[in-house]
Amino acid sequence: MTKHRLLRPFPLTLSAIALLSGVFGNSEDANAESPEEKGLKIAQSLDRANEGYASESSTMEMTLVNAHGDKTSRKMKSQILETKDDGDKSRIEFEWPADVKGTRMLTWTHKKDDDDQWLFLPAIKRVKRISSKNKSGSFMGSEFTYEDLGSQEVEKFKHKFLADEMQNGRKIWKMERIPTAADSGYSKQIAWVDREYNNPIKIEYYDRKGELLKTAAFSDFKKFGKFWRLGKLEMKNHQTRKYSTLVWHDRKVGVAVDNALFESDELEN
Amino acid sequence: MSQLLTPKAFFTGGLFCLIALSTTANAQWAVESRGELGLETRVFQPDDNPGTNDQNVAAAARLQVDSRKGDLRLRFRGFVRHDQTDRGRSAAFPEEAWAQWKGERFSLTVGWDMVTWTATEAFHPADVVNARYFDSNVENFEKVGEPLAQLRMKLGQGNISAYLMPYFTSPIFPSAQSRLSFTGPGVSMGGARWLTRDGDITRDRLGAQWAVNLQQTVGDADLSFHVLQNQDRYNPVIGIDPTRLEVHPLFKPVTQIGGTYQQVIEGLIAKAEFAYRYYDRSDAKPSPTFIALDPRQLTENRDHGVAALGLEYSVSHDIGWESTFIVEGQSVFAEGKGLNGNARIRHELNIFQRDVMGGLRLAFQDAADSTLLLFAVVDLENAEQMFGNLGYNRRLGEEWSLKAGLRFFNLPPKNPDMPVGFERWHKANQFTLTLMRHF
Repeated sequence: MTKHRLLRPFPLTLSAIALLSGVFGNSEDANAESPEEKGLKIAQSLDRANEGYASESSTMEMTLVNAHGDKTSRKMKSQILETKDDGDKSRIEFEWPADVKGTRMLTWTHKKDDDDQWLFLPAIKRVKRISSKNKSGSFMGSEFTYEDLGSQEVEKFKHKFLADEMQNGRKIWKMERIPTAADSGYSKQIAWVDREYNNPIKIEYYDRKGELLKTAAFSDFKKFGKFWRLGKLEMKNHQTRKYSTLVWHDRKVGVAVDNALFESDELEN
Repeated sequence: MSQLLTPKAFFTGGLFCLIALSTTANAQWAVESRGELGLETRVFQPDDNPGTNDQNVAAAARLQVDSRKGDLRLRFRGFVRHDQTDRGRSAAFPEEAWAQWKGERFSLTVGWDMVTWTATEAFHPADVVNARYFDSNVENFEKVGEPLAQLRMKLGQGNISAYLMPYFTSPIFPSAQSRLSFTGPGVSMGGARWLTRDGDITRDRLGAQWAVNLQQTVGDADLSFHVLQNQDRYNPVIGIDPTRLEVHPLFKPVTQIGGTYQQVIEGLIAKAEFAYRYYDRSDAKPSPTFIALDPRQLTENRDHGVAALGLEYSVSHDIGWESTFIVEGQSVFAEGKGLNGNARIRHELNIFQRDVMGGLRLAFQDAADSTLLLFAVVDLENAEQMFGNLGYNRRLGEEWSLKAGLRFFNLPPKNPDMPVGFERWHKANQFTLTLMRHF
């Protein structure tokens, strides 16, 4: 987990809408661009528009549902610190199931390089550096991978604008994103981005063979100051028929957090 | 409970617990707790020796209570094991029982604590501050809390810590009936004796021990360096008290310099740990209450270095499983003839004197967090000597977990009077099963 989409997927401020309208609202200007150029501009604008949130905290509840409908739950606390010139820093503490209570993960995301990650194991009171290279690994046994929840920096995808659409009366950009990392678990992603929320409301994930693997549905958006944040994320795996949901509680945006908490040697505190 | 640390330790630990619990009545204190309660079984391959226990059944519990108010924190974490089949194996000790003040750049911690200076998975030459519970897994002996005061200061991308440890905490030895006994069946290990820097042998547990540890993150690497001066707790000199006809361990004063390193290189995690240990006294004044069984252990130069290197690599499979491959090696460099030093001394100083470990951790990435751990440790100087492990653990529901393991040891026969090094695990092939409820 990194600059977590689970915490801040495709975020954008309302104040950026005017900018976006200026950039993309004119269909003639837009038509003058290639789909790749327009896709990149949208992605960059989404990224710029979210700058300035400073920090964020929330608690999250994840429910795993297998093909038979059996459910298990996970709970965690999250804090994110925005940084200048590079990716954000995040710290997640697992609270449930009881056997992983107290386990903490720190991630420093980077715009281009692989993220730095550390794990604190409370049973042996040890901080262990872990590799963020294994992007397609499952996050806590769920249908989310580290890649799904991790850094979504603009530079980590090739973007392509596909279409303007209307869904349930809402204006949508349909976008294609191809991960630039050779070790990505996906060949491509198709995202439907709500132009008011400036967040995706749906993403389809295609596996390395090009077959549809999973679909993520984003919902329950709320506005925090000028930032929109989702309240629920559901990921369905079409190949295993399992699904996982992630629900946010007690989200606070822009609250003061102790910067020292985002140092690896502070993980045990 | 035959090997409680000291009444004082438990009084203090209990006091911390009471303070933490009492704060639940005060809304200004934030209190959290967690713990586990389990049933442990261990079955050895029979050794046809009526003096040893081939089976152990024990109840184990761990409780942690944290309390926080502003810059102040209190923690109590205690562990209890009650072995119904071998009362001498029962033990209870604080792992952590401390009070902490934490400011912006400095923190001060006072009480019992676990200090972790390690980077590798199987070999831990640098991680020697805490005494250990020697009747636990050989590659990761459980730690006993160490009474200390720690002053920590933020420095660069990390910190520097100074430790003062005024009390010698003895390791907890296997019982006289244990298959892993240091002394042979039927012979109990008495209380620890300590060799002072003046050459005296004493039972007095108070004395100056200190350490300084520097920890830094540099790019993709985490580094630490330390200097430690304390009483060794890993290489006891076994001797007898002729006035009481008891067997006792004697521990020498030691100075250690060491460090750890972890770095991610293109998905590969490189790890290293090293330590050089200078024994501050290799002799002792004659004592009427302690005669070493092997006098050479008190007269020979036992200064030595230990280095461990490791690599770890994880890969995800299309079916969702994740494999982590681990390779580690450790070598002991002792004083003596040639680069290899004296093989006998190395054998006595460390269980893994020149060994390689290869392992696979297979995580099934399911809701139960099922994991299979397979590893083998082979002695490079004698490839017939090896130890293998097959372990499986999973969650049962959301509050219970199950851990099962098979261990196989191919090691030389024990010296019947005083097993040395890894000999203690000769034919200690075992099956373990632990059912744990977490809360």
